[in-house]
Amino acid sequence: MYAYDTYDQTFVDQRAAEFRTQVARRLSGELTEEQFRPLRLLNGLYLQLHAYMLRVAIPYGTLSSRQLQALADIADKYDRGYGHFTTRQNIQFNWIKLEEAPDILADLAVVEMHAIQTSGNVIRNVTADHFAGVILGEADDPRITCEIIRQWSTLHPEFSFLPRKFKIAVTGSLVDRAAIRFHDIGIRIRKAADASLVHDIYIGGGMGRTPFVAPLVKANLSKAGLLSYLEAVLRVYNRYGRRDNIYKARIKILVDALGVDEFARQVEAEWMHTKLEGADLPEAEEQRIRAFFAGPAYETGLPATPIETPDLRETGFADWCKTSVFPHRVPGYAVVTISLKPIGGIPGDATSQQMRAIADLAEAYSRHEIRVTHEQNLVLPYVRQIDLPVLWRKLACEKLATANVGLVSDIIACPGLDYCSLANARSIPIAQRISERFAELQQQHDIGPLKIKISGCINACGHHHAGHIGILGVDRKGEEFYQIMLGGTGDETAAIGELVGPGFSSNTVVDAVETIVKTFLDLRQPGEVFLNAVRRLGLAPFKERLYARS
Amino acid sequence: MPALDHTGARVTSWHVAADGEPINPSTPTLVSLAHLIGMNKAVAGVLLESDADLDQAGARLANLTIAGVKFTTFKDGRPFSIARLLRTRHGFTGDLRAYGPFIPDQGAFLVRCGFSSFEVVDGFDEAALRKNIAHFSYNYQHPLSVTASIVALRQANAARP
Ligand code: SF4
Repeated sequence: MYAYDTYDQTFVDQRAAEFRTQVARRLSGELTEEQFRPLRLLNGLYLQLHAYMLRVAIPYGTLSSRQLQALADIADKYDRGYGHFTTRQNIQFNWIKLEEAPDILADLAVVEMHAIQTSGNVIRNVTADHFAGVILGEADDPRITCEIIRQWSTLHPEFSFLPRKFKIAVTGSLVDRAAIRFHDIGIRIRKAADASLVHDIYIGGGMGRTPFVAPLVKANLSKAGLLSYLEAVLRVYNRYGRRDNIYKARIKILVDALGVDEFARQVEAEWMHTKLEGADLPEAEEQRIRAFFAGPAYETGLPATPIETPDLRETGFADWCKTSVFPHRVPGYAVVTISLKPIGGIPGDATSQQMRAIADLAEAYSRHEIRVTHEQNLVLPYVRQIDLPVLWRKLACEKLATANVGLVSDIIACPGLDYCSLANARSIPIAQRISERFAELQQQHDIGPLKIKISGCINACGHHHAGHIGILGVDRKGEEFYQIMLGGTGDETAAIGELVGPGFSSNTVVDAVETIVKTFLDLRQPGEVFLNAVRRLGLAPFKERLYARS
Repeated sequence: MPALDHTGARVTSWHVAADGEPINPSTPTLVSLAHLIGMNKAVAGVLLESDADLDQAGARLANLTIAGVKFTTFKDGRPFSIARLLRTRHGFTGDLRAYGPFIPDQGAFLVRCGFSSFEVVDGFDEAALRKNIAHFSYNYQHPLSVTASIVALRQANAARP
């Protein structure tokens, strides 16, 4: 993975030192909260319902064991012994004291981490396919592009006060695990016919009040022109994006208002100039960054299947292999997803003890590396297949071996009304109750792949538009209500879910989800997964069953 | 109201003329873009709004010795783009001054986009501005100000025997 040189390190150290003086100015009363707010937001520090929350950047979701240990230490030293992994591959600490925030940034800097651009109207942490570099059929490791974009976008002088936040996601695969078309910019790296690497640039996707699946704006962009092209996109957006209405300020609205062709034309015209302005990375610097992502030296001649004893089968090892173990591009290795969704738990939360255990396991079995998925799980990317049984046993000891990855209880939920000051309704308790309703693992495996995503308000941090079953919390005359959407997906067949009908109270929403699942089970064809059944059947049979009683 | 140069030192304020006001060529003066376009000879600089259409001004901008760009709120980052365009595309090489309610903690961003001076209100935290401008030793982006970018420094180091 990428390692800081003295420039990167000095930069992050100076950033932490700068924030220390800003906090001191706030604590002494020299700055009012109003004056301090933009400064803290540029360092990932939010004021939530009950306390400050610090969001720490995990660039493209890649962590070393040492970094995860440091996060565990921070959870113990400055928070309540746990952290929350987010849908943007970051981690949040929910109970932070303002006066300690500078110490946290200093501790983070020691392990080459920071909270830069995890909030505010800036280019946010760039996300990537969590299986980057280890999955079969990838054109290129997207993290190389992500790191290039990370450096280019870090405290960019021109683009730090955009109309609204700006999110970029990158994949190097045709299978989309990064939901690129729900981002302000989604990048797919492909191999062109001549084997050179090119980028397809999708612009103007997003969720929130007005969801859009991003259209393709630029195909076949050469690797060498990437940064000047991004500068052109950001400049057009910075100059012409709406600033009069927060709900219309994302780039998706600009793309929609101008039309894709006109937007593309304006960017192209701008690019003719930015190309000549020196933003593009010299080849040597690209190579320098690329070298960090070469991956470990793999062992050869490893046996290619996990050793399964009857004993292990009985206790669930086979189930876990089915959901948590993914093929690796190198024979004899596997990619392991660790579920942070225990039945009845809070999606994405991990205790400091769990973080330390995972850091240790990554050190022993995964070349010190961990990934964070946008689905709020963790990944060990370099596991030898022969190590799977022992890894599984050790994970199980920490309650980290729930065999539900990709299943109905692997729910994405935003913090909702339990933490977030913008929320209309709670998300976490709904996720907990749904997972309890489907607690029986065999039933989950029988239902098959099903993604439930829950947001506590229209801002859609829980990606409800992209859920096979999406749940949106709304406020109905002071009461928490939940709208249900069906058929959304963030994968390569990206689609926005369709509202099934009137909302449900918090008492009836879990029953409604169960009714939907039962309807699917009754009507599915052999081997059919939930999303395909919804696509085939439409909403009608689900509506019928959901609203039959009334 | 005081004005500061790019190191944060005090300099004189420029006069901002109302449209139609006669210009005294011996006083540094800014006029609106429309006013500038109406002049047959540029005897004043231009004070640009954040939505200014620079192409309207044609080649005139390159000949000016002073110009300003006005912030409407510090959150509206359009002046950063305007400044860069003036410097990189419209050939403006004179003194470029920021106007309006920008904040001291934007100092380095302003300088790195090509601003060279600041018009500030009384009570503006000048010390914080100076600190902000001088704070970072390195930046990632190709610069419009004096410090070399990290990319350039890495290239130079790699080229060293
Ligand atoms: S979706 Fe709404 S409630 Fe949930 S975290 Fe985002 S802003 Fe808060």
